[in-house]
Amino acid sequence: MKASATIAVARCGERDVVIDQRCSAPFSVRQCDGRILLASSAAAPVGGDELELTVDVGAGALVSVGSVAASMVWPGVGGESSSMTTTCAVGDAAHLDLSLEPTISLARSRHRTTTLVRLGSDATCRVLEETVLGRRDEVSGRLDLSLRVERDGRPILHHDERFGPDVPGAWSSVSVGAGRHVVSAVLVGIDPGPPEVCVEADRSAAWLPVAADAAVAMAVGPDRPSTMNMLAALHPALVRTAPVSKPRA
Amino acid sequence: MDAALLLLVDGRFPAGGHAYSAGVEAAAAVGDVVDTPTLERYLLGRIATTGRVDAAFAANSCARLQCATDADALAVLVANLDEEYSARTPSPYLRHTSRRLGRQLLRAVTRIWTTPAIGAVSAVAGGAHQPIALGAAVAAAGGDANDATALSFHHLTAAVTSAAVRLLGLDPIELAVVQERVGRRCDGFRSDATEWASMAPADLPAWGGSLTEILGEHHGSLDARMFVA
Repeated sequence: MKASATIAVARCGERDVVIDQRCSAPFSVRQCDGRILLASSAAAPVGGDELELTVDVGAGALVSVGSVAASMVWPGVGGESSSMTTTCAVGDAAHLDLSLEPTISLARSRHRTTTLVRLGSDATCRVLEETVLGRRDEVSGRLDLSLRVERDGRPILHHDERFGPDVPGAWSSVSVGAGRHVVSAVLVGIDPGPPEVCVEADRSAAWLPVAADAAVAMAVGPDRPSTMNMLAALHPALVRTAPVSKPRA
Repeated sequence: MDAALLLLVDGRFPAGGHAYSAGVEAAAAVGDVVDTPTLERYLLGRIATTGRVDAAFAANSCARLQCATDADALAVLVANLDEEYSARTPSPYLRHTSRRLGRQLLRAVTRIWTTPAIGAVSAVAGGAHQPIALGAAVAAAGGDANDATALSFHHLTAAVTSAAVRLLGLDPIELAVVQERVGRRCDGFRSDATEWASMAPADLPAWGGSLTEILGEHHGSLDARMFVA
């Protein structure tokens, strides 16, 4: 199945207005409490699916995009791969908050998640990606993550990571150790301060400044609450705050 | 291979590599590398992730810096490679270490060879990243992108195995066997060298590991350590 969702928001006067909202099943798009939420009306992705999300934030607009539920990656009948490609353009002096609910890699699935965020001058963002490597006591499938954030065409972060039982160095210190919940985040438009690291027996996290106004956060842990709590303790900007203005249709 | 390239292959070349464990010290500290099998697992993971990125940047720098037509084009290309490599190294400490290793390599290289590419990478503020400096050095020594790729992987496998001897007291002969076995895996990646040589820097591989960055940054915050990284 090939499916796509497109969301475009423009700043009109004092308000942010959704000027384009198109989607095909299994995607549906809802507006809720100032956020734009993706909902999936069918089990997706399943091996063979190609899903695309495009977000266009006009100059000066403030947009928060999320999803209503975690997305489970199911194996295809014939072992095919699935993909989710997210492409965001954020105009000058606009802000994008992109944090979908976790992607859960189920046993024997094969999936690729690609996220590209292009920021204009003075644009800011908080992009947070959560991945779960298998349900409880389940060995995950193969999962490739790619996250790239650019500003004015110049890279701020480009991080690709591959997970799965057949990947060299799987479950070791070259990957995520015994961690099952994996988070990467990029924040632009903040005061990063100094680097911060927390390394404990079964969880670790780091706050890594990458520019005068940007930082990357990475964390691995046994489950979502402990991993997110560890991140929140590293830097307050990692916790999502209520949007400044509500987009209206 | 001629004498000039052999200089760059040799671990005794004064480029500061002896102070670098490629993350083995941090991995040993958290109990992930304890013996020869766990070291081999670590090394296989590194060559598939940061090792591949380093080799690709070395190959690209080696091939493309030689082709730049004038000083301005060279400076733009070096700046582009520098910011793309930095974007693939989110840990500030690991970026600092990479620049330090690049600087140390260039300190010796600039006394031996003077090419426009060596001049351009030497002018990078804070020091050129190690793979970019290595690519320029291999080109100056008469090597090509294939040589740069091979050297980059060789320095990684040598850094990891020799650090394990010093940190964990593992048998150096057993580790030489591991290095040869993993080296053959690296030779498999070398078929990508031609492609890496001609890519735009933005398209070069970006494989990494969350713990590589987290533990690398953590290692930099420790007072008592044998290796810089």
